[in-house]
Amino acid sequence: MSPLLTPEALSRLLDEHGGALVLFAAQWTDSPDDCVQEAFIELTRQIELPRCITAWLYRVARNKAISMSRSAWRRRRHETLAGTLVPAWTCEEDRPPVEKEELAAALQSLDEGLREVIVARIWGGLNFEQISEVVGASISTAHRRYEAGLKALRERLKLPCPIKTATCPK
Amino acid sequence: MSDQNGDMPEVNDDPPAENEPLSACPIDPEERLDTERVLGLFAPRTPRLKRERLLALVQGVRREVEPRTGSAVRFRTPWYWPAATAAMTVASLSLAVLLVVRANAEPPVRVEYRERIVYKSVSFPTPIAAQPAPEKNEAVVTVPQPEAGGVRSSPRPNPYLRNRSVALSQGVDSLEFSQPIRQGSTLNTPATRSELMRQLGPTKGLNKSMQTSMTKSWIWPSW
Repeated sequence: MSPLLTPEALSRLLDEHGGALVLFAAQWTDSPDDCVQEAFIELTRQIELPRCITAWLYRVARNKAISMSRSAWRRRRHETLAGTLVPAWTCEEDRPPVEKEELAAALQSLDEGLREVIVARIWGGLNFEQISEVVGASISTAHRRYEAGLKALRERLKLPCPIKTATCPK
Repeated sequence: MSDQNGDMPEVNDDPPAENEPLSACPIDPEERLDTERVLGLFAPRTPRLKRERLLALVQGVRREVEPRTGSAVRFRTPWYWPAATAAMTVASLSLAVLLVVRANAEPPVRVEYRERIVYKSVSFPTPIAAQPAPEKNEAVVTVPQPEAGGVRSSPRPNPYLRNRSVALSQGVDSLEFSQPIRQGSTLNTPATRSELMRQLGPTKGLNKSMQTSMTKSWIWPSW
């Protein structure tokens, strides 16, 4: 274990990224907490700390979630995979524009490549370089996927046009 | 969370992947900001991870990993691989130098075959001293000299081989005629009656004059 990774540092990482990591892993598996826990344990096994711990944690959690989903698929071959984005958000606003269930359903309907970029960007707070590292694509590709995902989400959530003028085409 | 335009990539002209599910036109910046704002209203729920359990697991892993970490650090810079590499390099260079020196010391051997005429001295059997050509009506009979006491001093050459070499080298005409030696007979014993008559008859007077020569010859009238 790296001497830099003290229990306090680990706790801080868990506070900062635990929720987003669970949400990120929930795209593939219905046991995202286990994936995140294994990712943290894997981090403690590293002799040298990765260059970007956050991106490394997202990548490991993603790989473990995908691996776990494959195992679950092998176990329950004909059942529906339960790796769904259950309402995993909290909202401090009383009247949000969309409901949590709607958001979950809209995200669930997105393509996997678009969804993982949006989750990593919006709730994980990763920049596009880190996202490209996590998903294994170029920065431009990650950016394009992000914009395409946002547009698709907006259409599915039926968000109103933000430009309240007569020049708005919609 | 939603306003993160500071790290937007500047270059976005890569061709999209073949099966990349992208929309036809990019999102409007206003719409993008609004969507990010709406999504940012939601925060991920607190993970159900038990912090104490996770830290206990991490402590267990730390106890497992730390001994290996020390050994890993110790083996991270092993000395023997560079040493082995250096030794092999030195050996290779030495062999190369030896090869070059040896190649310069010895010129390359080139075998060249040339045709040439070789003169070789060949020893032919010495020809017998030329005999006076006998007259047409004469015959020469060679009789070997009787040995004193009947004891031979040296082994006689094989007459067949001698005659053969003489015949091959000088011709059949130069062969000496000699009496076949019968078993149990002396050297001067005539083989037939007519031979005996020839020996005794006409050359009786000449016998004394011919005693000095090695061979006896008789002038024989033809009839």
